[in-house]
Amino acid sequence: MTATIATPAAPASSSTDGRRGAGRPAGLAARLRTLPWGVLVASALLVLLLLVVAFPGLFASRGPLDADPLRVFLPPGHGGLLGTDQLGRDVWSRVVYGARYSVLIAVSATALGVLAGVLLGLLAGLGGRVTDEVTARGLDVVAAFPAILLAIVLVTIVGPGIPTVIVALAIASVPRYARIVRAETHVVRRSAYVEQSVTFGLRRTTLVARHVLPHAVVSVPILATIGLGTSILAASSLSFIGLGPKPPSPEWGAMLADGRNYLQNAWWISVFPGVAIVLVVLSVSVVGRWLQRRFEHREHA
Amino acid sequence: MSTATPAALTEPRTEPGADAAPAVVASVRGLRIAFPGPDGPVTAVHGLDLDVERGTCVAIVGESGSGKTVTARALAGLLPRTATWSADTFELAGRDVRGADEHAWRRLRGRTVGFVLQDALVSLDPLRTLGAEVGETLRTHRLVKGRRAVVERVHTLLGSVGIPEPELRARQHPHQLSGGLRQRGLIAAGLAGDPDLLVADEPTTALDVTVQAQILDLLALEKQRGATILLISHDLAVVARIADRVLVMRGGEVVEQSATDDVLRRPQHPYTRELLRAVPSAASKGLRLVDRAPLVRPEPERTSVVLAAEHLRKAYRVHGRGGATELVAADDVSLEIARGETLGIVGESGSGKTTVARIVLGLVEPDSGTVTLGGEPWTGVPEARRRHLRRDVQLIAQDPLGSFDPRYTVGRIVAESLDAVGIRGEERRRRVAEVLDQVRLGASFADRHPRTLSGGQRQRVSIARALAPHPRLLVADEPVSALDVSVQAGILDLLGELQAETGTSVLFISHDLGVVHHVADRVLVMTGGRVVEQGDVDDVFHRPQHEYTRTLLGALPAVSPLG
Repeated sequence: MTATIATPAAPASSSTDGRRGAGRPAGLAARLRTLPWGVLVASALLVLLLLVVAFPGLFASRGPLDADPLRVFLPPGHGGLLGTDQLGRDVWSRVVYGARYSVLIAVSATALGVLAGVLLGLLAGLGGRVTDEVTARGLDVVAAFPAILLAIVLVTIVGPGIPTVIVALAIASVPRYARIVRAETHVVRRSAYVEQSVTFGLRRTTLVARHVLPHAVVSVPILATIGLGTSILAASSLSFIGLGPKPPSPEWGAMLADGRNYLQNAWWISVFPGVAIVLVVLSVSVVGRWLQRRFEHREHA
Repeated sequence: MSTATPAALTEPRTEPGADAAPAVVASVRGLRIAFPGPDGPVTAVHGLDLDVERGTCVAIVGESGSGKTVTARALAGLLPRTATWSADTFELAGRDVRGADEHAWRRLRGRTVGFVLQDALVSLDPLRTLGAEVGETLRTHRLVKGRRAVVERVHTLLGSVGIPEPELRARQHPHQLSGGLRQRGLIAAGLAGDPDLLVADEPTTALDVTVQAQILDLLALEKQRGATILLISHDLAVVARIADRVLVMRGGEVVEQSATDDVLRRPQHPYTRELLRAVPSAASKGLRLVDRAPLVRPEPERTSVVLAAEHLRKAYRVHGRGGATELVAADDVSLEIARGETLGIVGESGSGKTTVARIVLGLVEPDSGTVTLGGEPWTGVPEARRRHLRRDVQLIAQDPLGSFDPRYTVGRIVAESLDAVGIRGEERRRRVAEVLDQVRLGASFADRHPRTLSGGQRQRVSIARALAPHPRLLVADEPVSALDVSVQAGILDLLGELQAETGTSVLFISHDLGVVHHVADRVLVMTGGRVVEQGDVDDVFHRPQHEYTRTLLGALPAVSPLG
């Protein structure tokens, strides 16, 4: 009975909170309460991930490479939280320290991809017809190759390693950003306010920096957030097939590959890094999509 | 005029189209309409009374927010779901429709009430042919039996609203039709079910003057044929042509209601008088529109030419079905603007007037011909060589909001044109405050965001921005076309006063002959990219030489000037 009375009151109070939040900053707690629970959980996981990346020592007492030949293949609970692997290394410590690789690779690749994508998109959007066509078709060609294939080609040229993976993933993500920036630039450069600022006698670079760029890149941060998830997944895949960080680095994809030989006897060696990948990618996607929905909602309003 | 016959009100409707049909087609008493607002319901219409007699045309005139469109929609049962309404009497063709639900309304629409929507481009389904659209009422109400009969009836209807080659047009889609044909099509659709009442909401607003005249003639013809019309418009001159009675609405109330002639010649309510006074025309020349006080501008200095254009030509390549063709947007256009002069350009859509404006603004290079600004070359030179001249030619656009960077505040918008000429810091802040004062907004507006301003205030911001770098020439491209007539009056007065203060020249582009006659010293009449007539504005408008100018002037619906 109490529940039925309480339920109608809840949406009413949360809607007033929302309105207040839109007007002036309300209490953080009140704002958090308006978030969907999925987004809340995902954000909490991402905050945790950042802490793990910054201070892995706080979460794991053993080093990721500390082997112990006497404590091999211990199941979760008996030897450390998540068990030990074939060399007696603590799986939990390896997962914790491995977060660094995933985050480093994904963030660098995305940053590089965004930078190149925005520049190429602007070039295509502002350039003449020939520049535009050449750039746009070039982007189509890049987009036609899967990231894995690009990485394999790159690795055969320069050899495996973290920088190679970063560059490969960045190249693969360029079309995604360049295309949206190009399309937006096309719209903005024809807008009345850009035309109007031509009549002031502004220099072309000033004009682009002031009136074109800020409008052309509005959706890039959201795309980049979603792209982070994709990059983490792709980085793990590349490591899995041996193109990423060399063993014994505790990279999640590499651990997955390492453990699959022992899957029948010691499932925990590869399952836990896998769970870590899934949780992180899922969290990033949930938050990214939520940002996107909010942004689109604001655009329509 | 005839008076309402109260007996007819009580007569029930018998057969559609029978002789016993009531003489009053729509009878409304005490109509109230409200919408939910953030602080409780907002009343859009306060107790409106309305009678439309069979075979007459009643017009509702008002500015935006007057409640005229909401009233029209109520009569067709098309109020938004959120609206709440009540009425003491609400009868259509003798039937009380106060309790009508959506299902009942669906049977009334098309047969009892035909509705002609405002914008012909968006009101027609882009995926359906005109014939399908017009035939819809016939099929829905099963007024004509058989597919063949429907098609034939559609052709007859299209023919009767003056659409040439109805068989061909019926098979075409909206994008293949001109604005005038689309509006005729919508009227045909509204008339298809032979409704007791045809409600037309701003049927001519988006149309050129000559097309507007044709549509008004068509409505007048339909009235002669026996149609009953409720016309909604913001333009007194439009309704003057065909309405028998006029209701003037303001803020949801009817302030005046009587025969058209009385409203136009002997307006009783101050608001009606204010509206009539605000209409610019030949009679208002040299006067302020708001109060008809003299507005003296110094004579233009004919010997000092600010901008001269010679033999401008601009063609665009158009890719059509038969390959690329050339569309000549401007052909051999020459003009000269003296210091302190206002040069008007009039023309309909596609006449090339905007192309000429864009060439004058240095946004488009002409294919041939030259423009000089204060004796210096303005076209055919690299941007670097003319950039320092740009401050001299400033634009006031039709849609101010679109011409503002959406992220900017009023202060930043106005400051930007100063930036480019190297005025910065304290000096720039002072100039921004100064021009905001000049356009009667005040420096306090600098922190506001354009979205929070009204249409008139936005246009004032746009004028302030244009004035800021002390330009020699203002290019005003349809600067008042999107504004209500009383707001338009304020903007036109402001432009006149600023011109008197600063001595700047103005190139004023408009489709509205009355506005151009009011503001301009000289005028250019353009059609099909060519200048067909030019000269002193009084000469051209009172003694037109060219056929086209005469057609334009003849098409102009006029309110006889108020003494």
